[in-house]
Amino acid sequence: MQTANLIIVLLAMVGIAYYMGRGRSFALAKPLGGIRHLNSLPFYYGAQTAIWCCVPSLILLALWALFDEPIITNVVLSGLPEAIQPQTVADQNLLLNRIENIASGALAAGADEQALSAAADRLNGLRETAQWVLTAAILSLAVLGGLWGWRRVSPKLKARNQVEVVFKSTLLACACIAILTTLGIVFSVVFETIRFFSFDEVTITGFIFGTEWSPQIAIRADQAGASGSFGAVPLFVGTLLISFIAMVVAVPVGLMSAIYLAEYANPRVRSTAKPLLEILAGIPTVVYGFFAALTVAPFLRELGESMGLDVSSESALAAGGVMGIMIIPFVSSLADDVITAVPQSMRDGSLGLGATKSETIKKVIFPAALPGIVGGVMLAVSRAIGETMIVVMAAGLAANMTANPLDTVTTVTVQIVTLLIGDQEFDSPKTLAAFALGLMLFVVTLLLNLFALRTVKKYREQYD
Amino acid sequence: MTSIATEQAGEMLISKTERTESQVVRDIEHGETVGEPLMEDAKMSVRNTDVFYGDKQAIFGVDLDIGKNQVIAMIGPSGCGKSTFLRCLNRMNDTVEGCRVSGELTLDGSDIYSKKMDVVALRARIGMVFQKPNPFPKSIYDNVAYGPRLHGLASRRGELDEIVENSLRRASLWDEVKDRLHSPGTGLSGGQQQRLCIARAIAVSPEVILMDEPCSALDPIATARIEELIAELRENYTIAIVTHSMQQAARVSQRTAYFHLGHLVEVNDTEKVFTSPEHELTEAYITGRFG
Repeated sequence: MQTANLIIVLLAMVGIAYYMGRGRSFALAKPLGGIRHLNSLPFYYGAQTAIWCCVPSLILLALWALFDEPIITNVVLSGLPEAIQPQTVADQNLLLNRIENIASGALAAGADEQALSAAADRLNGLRETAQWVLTAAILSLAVLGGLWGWRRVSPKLKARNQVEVVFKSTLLACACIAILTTLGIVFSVVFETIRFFSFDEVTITGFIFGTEWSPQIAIRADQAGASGSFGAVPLFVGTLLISFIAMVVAVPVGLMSAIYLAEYANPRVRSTAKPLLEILAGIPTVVYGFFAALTVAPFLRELGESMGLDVSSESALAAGGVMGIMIIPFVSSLADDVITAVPQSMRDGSLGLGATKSETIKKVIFPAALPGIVGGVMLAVSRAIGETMIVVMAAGLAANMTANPLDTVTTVTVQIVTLLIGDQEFDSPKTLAAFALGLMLFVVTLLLNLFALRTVKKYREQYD
Repeated sequence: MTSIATEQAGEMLISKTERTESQVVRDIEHGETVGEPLMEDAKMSVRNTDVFYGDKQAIFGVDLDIGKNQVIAMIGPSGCGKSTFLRCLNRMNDTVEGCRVSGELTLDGSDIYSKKMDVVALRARIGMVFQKPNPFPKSIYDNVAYGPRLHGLASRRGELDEIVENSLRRASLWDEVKDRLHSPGTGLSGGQQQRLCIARAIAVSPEVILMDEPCSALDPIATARIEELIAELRENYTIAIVTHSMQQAARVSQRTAYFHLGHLVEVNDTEKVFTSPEHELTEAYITGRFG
């Protein structure tokens, strides 16, 4: 039976186990005088039986999936005649691939490859057997587990506590998945970065402090190419410039719209305007990207030319400005929340002393909400630094180290994209540079997030 | 008027006086305020004032004078409109959505609700202390200096220091906080916070101070200190205080106004209200039969 079908059957059995366990608890309760004489509610007895039915078989299924393939290939390989036994890991992979292809019928075995076609047959046979054994094992384990759980049902069984434990473990497992995935990503980036720094062309100081970025290097021995230089500073300067422009747009506009919505707008305006503003956050960044590249950038260029300024067609200003628009809802929504969270008694206190509304906002509400607002702004900065699509489309690729917003610049994320697009060799520093950049970006945004979270935490301590 | 509240009040009365419910309702709704609501030389006077929240009327035709350098206490069961009435006196109800005030309210003869009246200036003349201490999350000094800075009352740093010190002294908080003026006001105890709020209110030298249950969040010792303070402040300010505690009203006030279901039932000298109330509702309330 296919694994997918197997899981469906298993689910059906779990359902049956649930009803059987529940039914048994009812049956046991009846002579005692009702379910209040049971330790737990019938639901828990059913759930307990269902858990006994599914958890052991799911564990077996997981273990099987892990060890099934390696064992089978090992058996197949050891069955090959001495003469064609592979010597290296690469050879072995090649040979396995070939056997695999013959087995699936994608390739025909050559006339002199009797051994291989025998191995392919063997592979097919083993797989089929394994699948049958698996089906039988899983189903019988499910039945046995279900029966065991069913038999355990008794008025004294603390089913509720057991189900709670299982429930808690499931939650814990889910939390672990998120954390382990993050760890996994970090480690894979770290290892690639270590590989990157092990090349002769690059040094850690050269990467962090170098001011020239031109990752194009010869990828074949006979190719005439630049030697490549990996100084990340221009990229970070570009990233910071664009993020800065974005924040210059997003922070004032976002904050002021938040203040308007929270303090001045009447409830009806607020309930329409806030979702509308948040739609901005729902527009895909690629749409913002072509808006920046096709509308804003040419407009800025024409505007600049009419004023006698030299504006490059892909300018930091266009990318940063559009990114700022994109980030407005981030800032405004978070700021709106913290401003609304300032207790009404603060407003009353200030108004009662004869302050006007705007004085109250400036002198009491804004300072009281400031830590929260800073937190929101820092999250928006992380977002701006990590943003890719808009800058890929609108900012350009030239790694200029400049503070002129009318110039074309490039960012860390753009370079990561260009380094990894297309066919790449994974043992050249050019490709691996992407991982080093990614790691550095990750560290920068992590620090910003930590800072933001700490500020938010400080804010929480301020009232009650 | 909501029928449920009327019924409850009615039932309580019937148990005592054996009158019908309709008689009581008529009595509250058409009865004139008994006692002496009006006086000569009043600081503030209120005539024929109604307050509405949306369609719901909260205050019904109140006439009342508030005398200069006196403490007037407003008592009455929960929801009787005494806080609403207090908040009309410095137009704090303006900030409440859908709240409408009609009638004539004057401060030293000038109409509070006229178009010419500047709300900001009005609130500087009529300060307010709230039920829950609400110091700003700033230092003690900045809390007290908030109003003076706002209204430009001090041109030099030294003047501001003086105002802060005087206000804290008058609120009898100076000795406790003089060494930590620049630590946050929110770090003080509840009673100290409330005295800080009083200092903050008197720092702009108001003429009238409104207090909305200023001791309801405080322990008895802190309450006693605030009450002492109110007695001292009376020399310089006119004070209107809303309170749930009849003992407090009896201790701190010269006149007492009893509100019931949005109507001003009785106003008299405090002693008279508590020893020989004229209206049966007042008597029922102060003898603890309801409220």
